[in-house]
Amino acid sequence: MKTKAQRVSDWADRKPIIGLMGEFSSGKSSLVNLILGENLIPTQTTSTSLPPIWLSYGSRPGYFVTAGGERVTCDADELNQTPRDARFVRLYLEYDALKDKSIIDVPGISDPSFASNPWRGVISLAHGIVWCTSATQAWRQTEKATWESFPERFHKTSILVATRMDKIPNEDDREKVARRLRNETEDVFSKHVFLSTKRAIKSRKDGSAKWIESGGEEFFDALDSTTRSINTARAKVFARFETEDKTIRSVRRARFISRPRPWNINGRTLSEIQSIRTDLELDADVAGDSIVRPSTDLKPQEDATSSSEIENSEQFYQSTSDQNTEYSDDLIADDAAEADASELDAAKSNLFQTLENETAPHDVLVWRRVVKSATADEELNPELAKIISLVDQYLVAISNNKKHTLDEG
Amino acid sequence: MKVVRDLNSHIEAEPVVEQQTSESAMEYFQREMNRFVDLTAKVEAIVDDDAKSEVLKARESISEYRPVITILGQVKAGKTTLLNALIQRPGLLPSDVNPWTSVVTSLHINHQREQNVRAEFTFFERDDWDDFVKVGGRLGQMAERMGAENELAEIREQVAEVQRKSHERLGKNYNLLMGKKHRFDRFDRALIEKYVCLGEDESPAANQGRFADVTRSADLFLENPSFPIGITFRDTPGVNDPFLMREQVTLRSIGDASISIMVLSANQALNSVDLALVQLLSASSKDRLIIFVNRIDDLDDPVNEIKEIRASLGARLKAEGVGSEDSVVFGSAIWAEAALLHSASDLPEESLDAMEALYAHSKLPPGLSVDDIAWNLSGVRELRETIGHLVADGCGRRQLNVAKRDLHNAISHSLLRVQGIRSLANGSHSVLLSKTDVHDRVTKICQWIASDFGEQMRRLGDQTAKKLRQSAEEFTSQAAAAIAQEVAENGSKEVECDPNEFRRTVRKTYMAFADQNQELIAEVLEDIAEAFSSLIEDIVGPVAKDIRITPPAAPAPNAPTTLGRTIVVDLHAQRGARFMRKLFGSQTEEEHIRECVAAEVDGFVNDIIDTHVIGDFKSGQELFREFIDQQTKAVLALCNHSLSQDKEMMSKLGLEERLEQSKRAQAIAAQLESALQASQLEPENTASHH
Repeated sequence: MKTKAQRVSDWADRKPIIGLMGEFSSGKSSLVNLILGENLIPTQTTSTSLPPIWLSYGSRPGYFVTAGGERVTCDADELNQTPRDARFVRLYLEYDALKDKSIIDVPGISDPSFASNPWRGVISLAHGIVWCTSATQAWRQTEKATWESFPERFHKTSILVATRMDKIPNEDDREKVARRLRNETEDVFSKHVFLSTKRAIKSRKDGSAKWIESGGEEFFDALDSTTRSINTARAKVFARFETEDKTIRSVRRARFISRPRPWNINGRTLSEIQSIRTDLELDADVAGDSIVRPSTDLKPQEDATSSSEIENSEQFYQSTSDQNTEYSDDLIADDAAEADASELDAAKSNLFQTLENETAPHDVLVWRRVVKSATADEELNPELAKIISLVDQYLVAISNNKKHTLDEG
Repeated sequence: MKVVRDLNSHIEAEPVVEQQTSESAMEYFQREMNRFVDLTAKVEAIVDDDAKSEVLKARESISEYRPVITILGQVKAGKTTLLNALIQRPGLLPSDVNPWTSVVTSLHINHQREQNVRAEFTFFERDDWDDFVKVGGRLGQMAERMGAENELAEIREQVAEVQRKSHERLGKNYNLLMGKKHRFDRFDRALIEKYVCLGEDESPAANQGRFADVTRSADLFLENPSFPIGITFRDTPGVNDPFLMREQVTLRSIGDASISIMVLSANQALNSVDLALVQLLSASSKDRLIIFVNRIDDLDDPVNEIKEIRASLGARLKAEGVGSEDSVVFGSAIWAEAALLHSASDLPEESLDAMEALYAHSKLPPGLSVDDIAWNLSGVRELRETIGHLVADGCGRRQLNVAKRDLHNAISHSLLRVQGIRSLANGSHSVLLSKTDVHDRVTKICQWIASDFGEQMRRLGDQTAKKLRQSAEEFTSQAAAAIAQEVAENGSKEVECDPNEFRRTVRKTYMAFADQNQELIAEVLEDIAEAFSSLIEDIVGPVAKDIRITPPAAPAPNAPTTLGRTIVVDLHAQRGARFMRKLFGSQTEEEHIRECVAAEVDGFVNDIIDTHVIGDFKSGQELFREFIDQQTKAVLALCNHSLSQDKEMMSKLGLEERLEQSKRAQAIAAQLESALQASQLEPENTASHH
């Protein structure tokens, strides 16, 4: 049994999982293909009756889990042969878009061929959701009611994408639809994107006027910033757990320093960080797991969101680690994110630079993830462990001191 | 490059002239209607006074017959654009990219209007508002149990908000308008917009003088020579609109439709909401549903995708046992609109690509203009033909047959009386039964029906109830076991179970009952008719032996409103997916779970039995009573004539005059007999115009 601290640490390592949802035939699969830059998922007008497809970075063989819980190896080009009662499909693919996040393409709601709701299991797993709604029949009651039944934590980490904007030929009409969607959903989505998916796929990332006009650029920006803000929020939570006895003083110091004035990485705080670093170098035992639970003393002045994020993250554990839910084994399989040597080196140097430069927690977490995976592979490489520990404390420090910048999302 | 959207100037535009190669079903039906009306005029001149009112009634039921065609579908499926195209008046009814009407608009085509009224707008009454929020009785209970109570609460809030806003805006006029009508002798788009379209909230200035939020219904009257008969089209607000009040308006207007056109969007043909609506519609109008798959202009690969959609739609309809693949029409209201405005070449590029692909694969002759292609591929002509067939072979034919039966019986009665006169004139004493005898015979008929057929009906009812309870029992056991297992495995959790299979079984059982019951009723009616025919023969003797009373048609199964309403509630419940979702503690006994499930299921089944099975029996009995009353009246009239009046009259006449009378009676009888021949029924669904 892992300690809570270990679990929190594991959790911080996980890439954000973005669920792609919406009614069936609302353009989800096209959107996945736009994100990946390749037509991986078959698109079809009638309901596709594919189970949830979980895409992660890597080169491991893919598989699907049958209704009976059995794993069967499968390939990306065999998606159409998946039995329709399979629980989900898991694919490891080496697309750039999957480096910082995993994606789950969830079967559409309102599909009469699915008796139950296939998204139930995905909801406890996902950190953010991209909700597709067809612009010509946007945001219907079925969508609204389903969205309202989801946990509120998604309101800050989710994007509403109105697909098929190109099907509304008139500019005024497009604006009207956009206005209505914003009015009706501004409180429950953090971003709204209006996308002509087909046109975006045609001009994908070529930076041309067509690409900008299609809403593609806007969509990628929204996706990116959502991923970042999920990481940022997670860094905050993580920091609350990372209050090891030995560092408590330094953290307190760091907190004290910045309390009356804005964060200044080049000023005194930097020296505090440096002293943490020195402390760590002196103490080889730093990687031990004598982490205590979050101290109320150190609790940052958090808003409702971040505390609910903590609750959610704990629930997340409940549902994914302690209990044997259908996804948990597969989630753990994802922990050992694969990183090659060059990536590891880059991450290492990036992490050390972190201490000299102002770096967003999002990036720190991403680099940490790479380093951590290498640690696991080599059975606790002490050097890497030290780096991680150092970085963890850095995260604590900036999370407690630099609230304004943390809320970058 | 954009479609011409300012359509005001085009409203009176000449419609595209269509080449009619053969007589359409509707034209054929119109000729039949005219023939019938002509026949009634002839018959009216020869029947005696006792039969005249019956003849008139039959005539009016045809000359004033207007099938009602309701257009339904999800929000923004293209209903209004399609209706505009159907009546070849593009842009007449306004539509918008966002849903913006809560008004049911009826377009009365080729109707006789009172005093030049061409547009009539009816405002809500206080009771109507209350109706929206008051969902009492069983529906309310079911809604609560099935988790739709939140939606009901939301509807209440929305209605209150609409009321508050319109009250605020209209001031003291608000109270003056309630329950009133505004009438106009002409209309245009601007006028319709004023009463039908809600503007956007952020422009209060644009809202001034608008009545849309207090208008309940709009009735527009227009002439259109392309429709050979009078017809009413009804445009409804979409379902699945987050503004739930609109959906309520629509669901309340389904009731009296002769034919429903369900508009789907090709990009997402038949989702669960559509399916619930189809189930609801096919429950209330079995063979009167057309499915129009709109927006094929949105498809990337229309040639293959239409095939794919057709196959999956057909399979789905078949699996659910609703609708029929034959009444599925594919098309694009936008193409039709563009064709009618002669602006098809201005359509967006993708739309034109789709059109071109379809044209290349169609059987249309090469070299057509873009407008012609757009019109031919829009599916609107096919839709009109389908409507024509459904009217001519379905609801219209039924209406015509009822009228023909009534006419037939009126002539028969008249003929019998004339034959009686003739026998009297010939000196033969034809009356064989006294009035008391007749009373006795009628009483016997009633008793015999009550005992013999009452017994058969009871048996059928018991059988059905047993089957329904049995399926309920099975479902309860299964569901309870599944829930108990879930509770045992996962502790205290919310659990759901899927009622679809159960609902299908209930529906099937009920439909089987309805068919059998209809057959039984038809049989009984036949027997009543037979009994009266022989009674008549006994009254007037052998002259009546060729005259047979025609029984009325057995009624279509009692529109199962509760079955429908249940689906509506399900439809709501599906959105939250909360049908039978309850909190069970981990210590819950299986028995307790079973009780909970049984409470849900039994209520549903009892409702079907109470409302429908018993309701259908009652409407059958009602029909027997009506038919017997009508026949008894006719038979007694026959007695009266034969026994007193005619006899008295005859006794005063001399021999020559009697011969004269006899001759005249013979002549009239001959005329009536030929009229009787002419009013013979044609079998349903085999009209000869194919």
